[in-house]
Amino acid sequence: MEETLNIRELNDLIASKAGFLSLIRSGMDRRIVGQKHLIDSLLIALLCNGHVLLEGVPGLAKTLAIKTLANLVSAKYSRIQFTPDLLPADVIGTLIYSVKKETFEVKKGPVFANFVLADEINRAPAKVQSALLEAMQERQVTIGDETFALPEPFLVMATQNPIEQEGTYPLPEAQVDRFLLKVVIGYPSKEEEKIIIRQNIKGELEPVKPMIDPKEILEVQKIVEKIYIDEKIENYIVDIVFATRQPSKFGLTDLQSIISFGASPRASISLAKASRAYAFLQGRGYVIPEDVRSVCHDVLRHRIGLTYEAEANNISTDDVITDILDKVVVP
Amino acid sequence: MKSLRYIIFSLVTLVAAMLASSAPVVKAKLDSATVMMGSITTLHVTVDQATNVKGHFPLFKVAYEKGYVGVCGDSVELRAPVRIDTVKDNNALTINYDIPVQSFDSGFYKLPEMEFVAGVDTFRSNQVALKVLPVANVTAETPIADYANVADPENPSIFDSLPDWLVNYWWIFLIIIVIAIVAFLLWRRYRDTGRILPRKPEPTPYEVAISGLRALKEKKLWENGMEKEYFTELTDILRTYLYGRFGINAMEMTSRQILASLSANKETKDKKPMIRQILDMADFVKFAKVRPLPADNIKSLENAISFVEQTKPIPPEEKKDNDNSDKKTIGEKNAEIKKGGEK
Repeated sequence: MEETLNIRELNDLIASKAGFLSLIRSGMDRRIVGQKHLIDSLLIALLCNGHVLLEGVPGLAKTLAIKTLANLVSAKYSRIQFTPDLLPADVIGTLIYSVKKETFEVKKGPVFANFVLADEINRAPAKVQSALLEAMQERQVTIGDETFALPEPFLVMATQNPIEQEGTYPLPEAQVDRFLLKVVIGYPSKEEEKIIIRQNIKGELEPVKPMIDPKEILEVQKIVEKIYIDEKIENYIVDIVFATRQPSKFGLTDLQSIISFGASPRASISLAKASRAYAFLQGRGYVIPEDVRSVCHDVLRHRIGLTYEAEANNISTDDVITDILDKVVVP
Repeated sequence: MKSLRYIIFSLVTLVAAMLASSAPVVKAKLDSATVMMGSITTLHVTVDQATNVKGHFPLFKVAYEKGYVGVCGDSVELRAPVRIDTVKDNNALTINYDIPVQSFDSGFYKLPEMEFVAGVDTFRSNQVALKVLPVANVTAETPIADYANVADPENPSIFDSLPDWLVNYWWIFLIIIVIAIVAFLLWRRYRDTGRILPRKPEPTPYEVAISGLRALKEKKLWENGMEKEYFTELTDILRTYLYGRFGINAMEMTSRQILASLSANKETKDKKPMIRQILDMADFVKFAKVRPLPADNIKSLENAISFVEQTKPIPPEEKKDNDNSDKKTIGEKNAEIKKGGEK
């Protein structure tokens, strides 16, 4: 088999970074039982320089997962508990008058960290959510007259609880679109649950030591950017996204009345980026349709609007995405 | 005085004679005084008159207008046309009228005088007699003497009893009946099958796949540096075959999903390695810009042909035969396909 040099070099490069991945995975496995999908999603977001919205009932190790990830990387970690009385300044920072210096000094907020956990993001008012989401998008924050770049890598993991919706502020579609992935976390299996019990009744959890330098993550991000996406894969991504907008053109007439709005072009970009990151996790220097399918639910889940009819029939966006994937021709 | 009276008497007599000699004379004569009922005879009416006399027969005028005029209580008809012939002799004029006479009532009739009206004077012809003889009753028992009786046909057939319009135009009715039958049959077929023309038998997935693989080989895509197109077509043929043969929606599946489906199928479980080789190679070529070696291309096509041949549905008759004979047939067919492709 003759192979063009770029892909081969890329494959070698990815293989050389296998240690990086195994370090993170083994570190995560020490603290988190099961939840492989959650760990993969965090890694995909980290490799794509994106952000993750986690949805799951309390107690599924959402907070623990990002805390462990932050501990594994010698990076700054901060947690913001979103509450109804939270203000934007509590997130991004503010100017505080120094009596000693007789000037206003910048007090940076918790958003100035490599890993930010926005816990229960839907419990804070829209203006606070907007402040964080703007920082996520722009990767810079303006306090007073000064603009500050956020540190790199910068990963926001926001969580929201699907139950107890009273007194919450659901994220608007335009803002939720800024999350690369929306990951729905399920309950562990019986075996996993037994291990969780054993680990936790022993006492304190095993400490996690920093093993990875943030610079290494930036290097890996650059490698991921080089992963080859063929035109056929691009067409496949476009077909999937267009099927969310015009399902009848793809033989999905049933979905026409179920989808109120389809995925945006940002979804196409995110799908391509996430597919590349997934290919990296698989040790490949090129993307195959399998990669696209693997990340498709997480990328599109929060970008498709459903009609009242769909809600009345208990049809979720996951059902819609599954239907689309089963209908769109794979290259 | 006596001579004067004589002269006057002579003059009067002369004038009277002169006047008497110039008055029209009307004569009537029948061709035949005896006719059969319904037969026609001719009444000849002659008018001798001076040339300067102008007159007409009112009766004939009615005959002209109506076509006939009845006389003798309408038992005798004077029919039109009346033929007129005129002969001139110096100052005298003889006009001959020929009038057809017909009667449908038997009996003896005296035809009326023919009145010739000239100015204020009317001149009458002599009367003529006409005897109309009755005709004997014609019945089936007493046939008409001069006509032969209607005889039965010598070779009677069913068509003799049919009306003439049917005998003459039976072919039109036959065509209509045939058209109606054909239309009914077509309608019934349309009702049952939803189409009029018979459905062309669709090729089996095996036939489609084999012909597709042959065509792919003949295209010589990889020989011309089009490996990507070659593997795209190859995998599309196989995916279509998997759908048609096993109902696996391979067109909407990734390589891993296809292999998982093949593992779940008893018929394809042991043949999965062949498809794995093709799909793995196809993924490399299609998505990783890999240019395979010629041996890889050939092996992929051979594996595809082998897979299709080995999973070809066995017809019920062949199933009864020994399995070994099947394997031989497949091998032979494989060789034939390869030979065909090389040509």
